[in-house]
Amino acid sequence: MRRPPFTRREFIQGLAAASGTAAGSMLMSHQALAEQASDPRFLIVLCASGGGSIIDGPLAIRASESATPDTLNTFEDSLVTGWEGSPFRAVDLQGSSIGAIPASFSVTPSEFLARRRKDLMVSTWNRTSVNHAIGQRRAITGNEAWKGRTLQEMVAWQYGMDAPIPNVHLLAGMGYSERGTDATVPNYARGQIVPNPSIWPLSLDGRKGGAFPIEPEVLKAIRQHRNKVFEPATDFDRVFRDAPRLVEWKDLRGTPQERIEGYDLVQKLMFLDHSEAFPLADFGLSSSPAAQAVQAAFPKLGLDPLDASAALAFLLLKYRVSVSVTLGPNFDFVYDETVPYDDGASLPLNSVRNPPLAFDVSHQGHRAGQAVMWSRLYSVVDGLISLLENEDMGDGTSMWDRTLIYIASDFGREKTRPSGADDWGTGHSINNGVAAFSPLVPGDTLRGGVDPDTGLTYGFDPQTGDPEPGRNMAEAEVFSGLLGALGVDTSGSGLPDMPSMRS
Amino acid sequence: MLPERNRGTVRTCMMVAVLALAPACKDDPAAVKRDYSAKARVLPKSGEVWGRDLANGLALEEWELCRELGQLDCVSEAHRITLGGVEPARLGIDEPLETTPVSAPIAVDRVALSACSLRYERDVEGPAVIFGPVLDANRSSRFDWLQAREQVAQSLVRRLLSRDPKAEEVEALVATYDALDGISDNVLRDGSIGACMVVATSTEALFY
Repeated sequence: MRRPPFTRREFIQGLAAASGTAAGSMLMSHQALAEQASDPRFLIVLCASGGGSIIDGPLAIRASESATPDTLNTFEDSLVTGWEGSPFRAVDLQGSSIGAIPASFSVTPSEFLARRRKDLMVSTWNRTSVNHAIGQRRAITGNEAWKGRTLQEMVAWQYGMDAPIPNVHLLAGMGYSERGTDATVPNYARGQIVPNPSIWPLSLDGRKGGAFPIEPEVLKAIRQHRNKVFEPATDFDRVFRDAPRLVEWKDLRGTPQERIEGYDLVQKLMFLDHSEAFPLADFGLSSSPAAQAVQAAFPKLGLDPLDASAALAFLLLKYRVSVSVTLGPNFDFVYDETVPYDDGASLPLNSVRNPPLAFDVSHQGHRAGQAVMWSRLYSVVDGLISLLENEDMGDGTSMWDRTLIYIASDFGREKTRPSGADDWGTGHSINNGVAAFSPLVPGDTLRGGVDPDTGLTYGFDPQTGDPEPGRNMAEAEVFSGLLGALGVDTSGSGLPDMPSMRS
Repeated sequence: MLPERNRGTVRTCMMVAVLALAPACKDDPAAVKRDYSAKARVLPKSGEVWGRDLANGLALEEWELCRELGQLDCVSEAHRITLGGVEPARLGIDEPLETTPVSAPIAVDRVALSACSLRYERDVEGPAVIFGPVLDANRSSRFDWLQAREQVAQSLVRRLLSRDPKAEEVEALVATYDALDGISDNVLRDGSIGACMVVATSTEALFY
């Protein structure tokens, strides 16, 4: 059998040799990549699918601050919680409907931000599209700022050389999970789509958990016999041996397959317990050693796809399967049937976990939709931080010390409202801000600001971080700032340096 | 379409052109030696198509091939996207993934292991569809062991690849049993299942 054209390490070595010092980037050095892989940073892209409005999240505007509070998206002062010396706010809100959905809700983001704002940086920016798919893609490429490479690919490239699946996408069918357009990004750094977090681990072992037991040595011998004896004897394989799809397939059957099965991921990533509906024990499987911890952090993971994704995202990072994970709510309605009905006048309190279209339900009910969805994302951030804080890296730091959670949004929302309206519909807006939770960014810090009379955000000095009314931050600048916070080498990229976005 | 008279003229011209080029090709060692496609391009079968081929070849129902945890159909549910399928309604995946998922070869092995094992079990219970010759040879010394394995090998290629096998392919499949000598405690079973897996998960079975 012809061997694959190159292994992962050979690819990197070859790239380094070929590129020489042309790019001057650390990403071209095999030795540097090996070092980076042993001292990784982790990226979690949490997608505010549909358009999360920053002024409905941590940059809420008090009515008393605005010259036109009735027609602007402002909140009664009494609803807004703030903290001395902090730029951030939280709006605890209750309601009886989410747009046209008669579902009562109650959210208390103040509890979350009271604990977590020390690791929160918000950076303002102006986007370049109000189309969902395009906005999503540009949120991860900075509008193709660096040859169309994505944030996730860059992190996987730099830190993921030794991880079996460095870049995992738990959110399918969105621009956030698109591939970058730079062909020089190594294959190992490309995103792998995981369509169903609870079942996917079963595809990570050829025999464990199957209905027909077979010894591992037997399966290995069968595979070797296929690859080295039978296939080379077929005309099909001889004639089409250079077809790119066959080369790729045979490559995956080699080292990547051995690494995945060697990690015993079918067990480690299994976050559900044995049950009648999920009879693991009947097939010789058990849940992950970390299952109890993730179930405690995400108690609705059995019914809510976002919680299930968050659980798997943590396990992927914990077991060093990945260094970049992408997740977020999709556009499907998620309803919690375990919440009992109360008075029957509406769906039970907080039983609607994900309104249809996620943040984009704002077209019908902006205030309620944004409140429910921001709370939903905060809940995931909270769970992930709790878990990551407890993971010791062995050098006195925790995994959380090396992680950045980027809340990526399609775009912002319109800033105005019908006079005095409690809830209303909004369209898309290019003006918005980015929330990033991490010890790697300046905590409890706002880069830029909000004009309380227009609801529009404004920018900041990239070097000092000082607010600059009248300036708008470009997508490339924020993209570069996030890469910088993660320690990704951007030399030779032409990206602007954004020191004020890293701690 | 060209009239028959003209088609004959075209054929003649093409033949003359080929003959004229022949000496040049003969002098080119690379051209003489090359027995593979210079512009090779294959596409993966979707899991649905491969599963159907597998079910037909092994005389099983599609839903029987493999069920994760005894409940989820491997091809249409559990590994649907991994095996190149789409799911537009819930997942928003309306085209097969652009690149092969890293877990796809593992999922393929998993499905084939289940399907081939089931076929073997059914054949043991009888009436046998594929593994009858080796089962008979194991029961009675009247049957030749080598010949039995050759019959199974021929059957597997015919049923799973829809063509007759070459002698070297039969030889390779017969050797599957030998390859498991000293590794397996039941060479008859594991060799049969293994030979089936080898054919069912070969590139020829998975791509077109």
